[in-house]
Formats: sequence, C-alpha cells, structure tokens
Amino acid sequence: MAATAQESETEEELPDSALSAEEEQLESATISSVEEEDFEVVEVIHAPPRIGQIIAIVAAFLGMAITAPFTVLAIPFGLAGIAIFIAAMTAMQSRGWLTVGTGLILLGAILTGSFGVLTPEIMLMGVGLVLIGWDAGQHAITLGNQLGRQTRSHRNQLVHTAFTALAVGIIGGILFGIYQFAGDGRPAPAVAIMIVGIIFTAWLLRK
Amino acid sequence: MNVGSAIRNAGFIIGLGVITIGLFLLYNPTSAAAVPFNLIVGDLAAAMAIILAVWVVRARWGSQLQETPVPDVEYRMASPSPGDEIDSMIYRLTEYGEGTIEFRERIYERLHEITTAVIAHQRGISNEQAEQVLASGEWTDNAVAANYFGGAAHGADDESVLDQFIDKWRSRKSPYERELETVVGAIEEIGDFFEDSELERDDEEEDEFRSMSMSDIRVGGDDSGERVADHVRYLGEFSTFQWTGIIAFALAAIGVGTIASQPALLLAGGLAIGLAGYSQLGPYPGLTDLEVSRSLSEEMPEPGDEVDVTVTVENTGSSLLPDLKLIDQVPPTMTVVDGSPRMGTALRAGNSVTFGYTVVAERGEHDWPLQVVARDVSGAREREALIDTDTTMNCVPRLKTITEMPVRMQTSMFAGGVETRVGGDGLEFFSVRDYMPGDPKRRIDWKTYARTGEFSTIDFREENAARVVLLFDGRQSSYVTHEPGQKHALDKGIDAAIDVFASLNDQGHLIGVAAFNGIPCWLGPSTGQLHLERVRNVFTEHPAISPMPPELTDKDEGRYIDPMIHIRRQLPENTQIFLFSPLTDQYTYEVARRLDGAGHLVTIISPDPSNDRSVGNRIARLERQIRVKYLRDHGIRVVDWDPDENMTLALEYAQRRWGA
Repeated sequence: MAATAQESETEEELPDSALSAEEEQLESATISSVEEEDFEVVEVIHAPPRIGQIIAIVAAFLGMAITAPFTVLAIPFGLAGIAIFIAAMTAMQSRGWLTVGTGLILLGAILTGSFGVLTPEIMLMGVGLVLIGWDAGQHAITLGNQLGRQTRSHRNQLVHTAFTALAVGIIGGILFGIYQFAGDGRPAPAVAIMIVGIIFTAWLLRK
Repeated sequence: MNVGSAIRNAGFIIGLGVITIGLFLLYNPTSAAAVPFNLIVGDLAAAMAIILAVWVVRARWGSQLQETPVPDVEYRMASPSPGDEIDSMIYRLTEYGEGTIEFRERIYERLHEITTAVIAHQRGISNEQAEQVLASGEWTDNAVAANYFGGAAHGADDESVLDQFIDKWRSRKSPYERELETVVGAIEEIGDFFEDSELERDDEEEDEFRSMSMSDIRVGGDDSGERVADHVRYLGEFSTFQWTGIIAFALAAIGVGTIASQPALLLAGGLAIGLAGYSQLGPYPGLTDLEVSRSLSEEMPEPGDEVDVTVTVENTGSSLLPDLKLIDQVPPTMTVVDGSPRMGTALRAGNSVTFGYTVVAERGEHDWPLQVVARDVSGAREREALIDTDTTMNCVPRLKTITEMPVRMQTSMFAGGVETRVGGDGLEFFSVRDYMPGDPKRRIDWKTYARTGEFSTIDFREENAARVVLLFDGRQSSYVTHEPGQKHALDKGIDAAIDVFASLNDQGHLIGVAAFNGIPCWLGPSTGQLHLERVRNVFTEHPAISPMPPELTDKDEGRYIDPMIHIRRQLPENTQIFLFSPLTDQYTYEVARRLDGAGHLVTIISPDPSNDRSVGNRIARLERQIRVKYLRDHGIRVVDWDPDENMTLALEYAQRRWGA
C-alpha cells in the first residue's frame, strides 16, 4: 500500500517537473548562488590609527610652534620639518621620513636656542613635545602596518604615549631641578667635566 | 656576556663617574677652582660632539627600521595564477638580465607551440603545414608578430610612428614585453577564442586584490620557534630602532649649547640623552604568562557557514605588558567577513581583553595560533610569539544536495553509462506498449483507453546505477586562481564535487573519490552510510587534496612517482570519471586522454583560473584554451567553468553544447 502511494506521488510529480523545468533550473541557480559565498571580506586598511595621527601631529606642531618662530633662521626649518612630519604621518606613512621631519624641527630648535631667545623651561617643553610627537608617530605607523586602522588599538597607543610623556616629564623635571640648583654661579670646569662625561655616555647610548 | 657589552658597560661606569665628578664640582666650587682648566677644552669637546652628531645621523640614514611583519590574516592566501611563472621569467630577464637566452627561448617555444596549434586547428591542417604557414608569416597582419616567428610581414603595420611613440611613453614596459604582448594579441585575434571585450583592456589599470601574501603565512601546528612554555613559542626578538637618532640631536644640542653658552640647549640635550637611556631600560617583555582562550559559535560548521570567533587574552603574570598586538592567525583558506581578528592593547597584571570576529568556515580540521607582537614600555624592543590554543574547528562537508540538479539534466548528463535501453520503472518516458497482465495499474495509459477502449502500458526508461569516480588533480599546479585572494581551482573543484557527490549519491550511484598527487588517495566507488563518512573524511582532511598547497605543507614527497599509477591500478572497468582540474598543464591533459583511451567516460570539470592581467597570464590562457579544444575534439567532455559563475550555470551551458 505504501509503495503504491509513493508511486502515485512520482506520477504526479512527473508532468509537474517537465512543465517547470525552466523554472526549476532558475530556482536551483538561485539556491546555489546563495550558497556560493556572497560574503564581503573585510578590508584591511594599513594606515596609522587616527588617534595616533592626531597625537603625533598636534604634539610636533606645538613643539615646533614654541621653538621655531623666535628666530628668522629657524622658521624655514620648523615649517619644512612640520610639513614633512605631517606628510609622513598621513600620505607616506614612513617612519624614515617622520624622523627627517622631526630632525628638521629639532634643528630649528637648536638654531633658536643658540641665540639664547628661549628660556630653558620653554626649550625643554618644546623639544619634549617634538620628541613625544616623533615617538607617537612612529608608534602609530607601526600600529598601522601591523594592525591596520580598522582594528581597535587606541588603548595601546594611549598607554605608550602616556609612558613616553611621563618619561619626558620626569627627565625634564630632574634636569630643570639641577639647573635651578646649580644656579648662576656655576664654575666652568665643573660644567665642562660634566659635559665631557655626558657626551661620552651619550655616545655609548647611541644605538 | 660578550666582550663588546663588557666594554660598553665599563664605558657607562666611567661616563657616569665623570658626570658625578662634574656634579660634585658644581656643588663644591672651591675644589672646582683647583682644577686646571681652559675654556678651549670645553669648546673642543663641543666641536667633537657636533662631529659625532653628524656621524650618528650618517649611520642612521638608510638604516632599516624594524618591525615584525604581520600577514593580512583577514584575506585568503594569494594563490598564483597560471602564467605567473612566465611573467617572473620576463621580469628576471628584463630587470636583472638573467637567462637572456634561455628564458627567451623557452617563451618562444611555448608561443610557437600555441601558434602552430591555433593555425592547425583554425585551418584544419597538420602541424607540419601549420609550421610552414607560421614561418611564411602569412598567418597574421601584424608585422611584429610575423617577425617574431621569423616570417615576413604581410599587410601594413597600422600603427603610426606617433602612436608607437605615445605607447612607448605611456607604458613602463620593456620593449621585449611589449613585443610579446603584440604577438599574443595577434594569436588571440586569429584564434578568435575570446569574442568578448576582454581583448581591449586598459594597461594603466592597477589591480588591487585582497589577499594574504604566501610568504607571511605562519602555518598552524608548525613547530617553529623556541618553546618557552606549554603553549607559548618565541619566534624572535629584536631592537626596533625606534629611538635611534635621538643621540644625534643630543650631541648637536650639547655641542652648540656649549659653544654658544646656552644652558637651554644643554638641558634639551640632556633630555634627549635621558630618553635614550629610557629606551635602554626595558627588558624584552615576557609573554609566558599570557593565557589565550578562543571560543567558536559553532565547532563543527559546514563549509560556507559563518562562525563567530571570540578570543580572550589574559595576563596572568605579575607585571604590566604595556604594548601588546594580538593577531589571531586565521587559517589561510578562510576569510574574515566581520570584525577584526587583531587587537592592540596594554594589559596590567590580572587584566584580560576580549575581541571577536566572524569567519567563513572552509573544509578541514583547523587549529590556529595567536600571534603576539609585544614591545617594552619605550617601544625599543620587540618580541614575537605564537600562543597555541586548544580550540579546534572541524569543518566537514555535509554531503547533502544543496544545488538541486534537475533529474532531466542528470539523465542526459550521464548518458551512456546510466540510461539503459530497457523500459520499465523509471522517470523518463520510454515507450507505449500493449498491456500485459500484471502491469502496475498506475502505468496504464488511461488516455489511450478512453480513446480506443484498449489497455496499453507506458514504459519509462530504466536507469541503472553508474559507477563514478570523482578524480582530483591535487598537484601544485592546481593551486592557482584567476584572482589572488579567491579560492584556488582545487578548492573550487572540491566545492563542486561535494555538490555533485551529493546529487549522484541521492540518485543511488556508486561513487568513489580519488586524487593524483604524490600522496596516494583512493576510495573506490561504493555507497552507504559508512562510505559517506569516509568520503566526508577524505574531503575534510586527506593530505592529497589539502586546501594548502603542497609547497607549504609537505617537505618531501615522491614527485618522481607518476601520480596516476596507483589510480590506474585500482580503477574498475566501466567507471565514469569526473575529473576536476584547472587544466593548467599538459599532464592532466594526458591523464584524461589515457583514461578515455582505456574506455572510461571522462567528464572534466575545469574551474577556469586564467585571466588576462599580464602577458604571461594571457599565454597560459591560450595554452589552456587549446587544451580544452583538443580534449573536446577527442570526445572528452569539458565543463569550462568560469569561476564567477556558479556551477549550475556552467553545467547548463555545457549541457546545451552536448545536446546540440
């Protein structure tokens, strides 16, 4: 009995499937195209995260703004430096060019400093900001290369920059303290010996 | 500790000693006055500092900044396209001047073979005659192409001098490459294979594909690196040179500051030195205390399913990890369709972070590590590690019909082996005959009875189960794709095969699965639940048809063995073969011919991996088209499957051709 029922079913289906052969093919095409991957793969954007870009550019710009404009000779260095810095952070995404930009800004700062226009605290602040910007920029570019902009990474960037800023603050504070303490009556030989020692140590630290 | 660092450390002690003396003298001016001193000493030291600064800048200039390369795990691996090897030959030839004679000759021979075949096919002449035509140069109107094969030009060169000049100016290609392009264009023209607009294409167009570079792939389960804990492997550690160059500024500032007697500059230099010291402080971050757990929304998905992956990383150690980049190494065959499998963060002791993403599952048993790139607090030192997890995704094809293959289509598709010339039970109308007692009631043709009053019986075509073997070309040459980042031809073939298998199995045929590769893979035609399970296993994890190309997975395999030997030994007579291959080399062609010669009915389902992005790709495409034509000439069915279309459509086209 069951067999008969099944057979009659087949018979009923026969004309049906013959009629709608076209339709069926269409349908099966749609079924399989749904099954085929229509998923859009996410896009990986290898660019520095925005927050890193902003921190780096703002810090470097502020650093430049409080050091360069006080000497005519330093202005072109400051401007060219910040221009290269911004280009390296946005279009080029190059740590090498970022360093070139930073170098020019710092060169401007040295020129300004050599004329004695800046007080030590402003100088420390300006150079500190430029160095924070340089470090944040390099970090952001690396984040862009390794993680990409689409990835959450602001905590990483913020923690890193906070530590750098802290280090700049502490070191700058100590130096400023020594400077205040030594005051004006500093004996030249003592300063010279210290400088020789510092240069020697710096040379060892270069890598 | 080596000698270098011992000297360095001694130097630091001396340097700090000198600074301390200086500080003491600053504090105690009376003893300072006792020191014999001349300002010249200070200025000399300053001048020295400036020179050293220039020296440091010079050393830094052009030095490589380092960071760990991270693969684009979101994308599928970039399988090569057929013909890429020709392009690399052209590149090496034109850029490096390598193999000037050898490469030119090889390319020439391939083109020569193609052109001869095209001419012979086009004019219906023998290969020898075709070679004569080729040598005479009358096969094409293009002077460059005719010259290439040593023939005299026929017809005028329709490109004006100005056009040529503009062409030359616009394209950055070498003259040789442009010559090849012209030749290939001429062959395509006479071959008339590609009527569609593909011939016209913009050379300036830069294609960008979302794919993961093969060289970056870190194969899961690979035991590379140094195992430092149960689940943690250190891959490498190095200095990033993040702060390199700061000393140049320090030296310059101190030098200029000393000469100009500017304390502000001395302080700025001191700040830079302090930061340089800060960058030397941190040790390499220890990653042994990172605990990684990964959970999947579905541990046994089917190919094509979306699976949500959640990764939690916890710092169970006692120290802060200030700079962590976590990259989940999604298997190269899978793609990420939502979220990001990466995370950048900092973890205090005891803290954890969670991130999630969605992948499309692909066949196989997958477990994958988490790549960790960590830096110390100043960012000067970087360490890369892989952390293994226990989570495994087992993606097994279900082998159920998804693409419903219409039965009519099926019966004619397997013509010969399946349809019998016997009427009886079945689906397709076969004949009407006189009623014989005992015929089933439902097969009586009632319309005839109504007309004539006589009983007659409808017979349907009886169908027998066929023996079918799905045969895969699992050699390296199958791991090619038309677009980097798309599935390679083998995976496409297997996707299709899973469908075909299900469809055939539902019809009760006996189906086997085999692959030719260095690794034997054979599962004879059979049916039943157990067989189904075996087939699932083969599709999921048989190394001969692994989703990863052999060059990445196995170290040593007997490539010198003819991969077909074990298959020919076991193939039962009268078995139909469904051969899945992109037909990128002559070997598969020979296999098909031999199987056909041995009396098997061969249908080739060939996902087309060819494209026209470069002259090499175009040459490979021509070769493949000729292979397809020859196979068809020999009565072997070829489904030339455009990978952008779905399989059903490709079958439909093929059917129309076969029906005609």
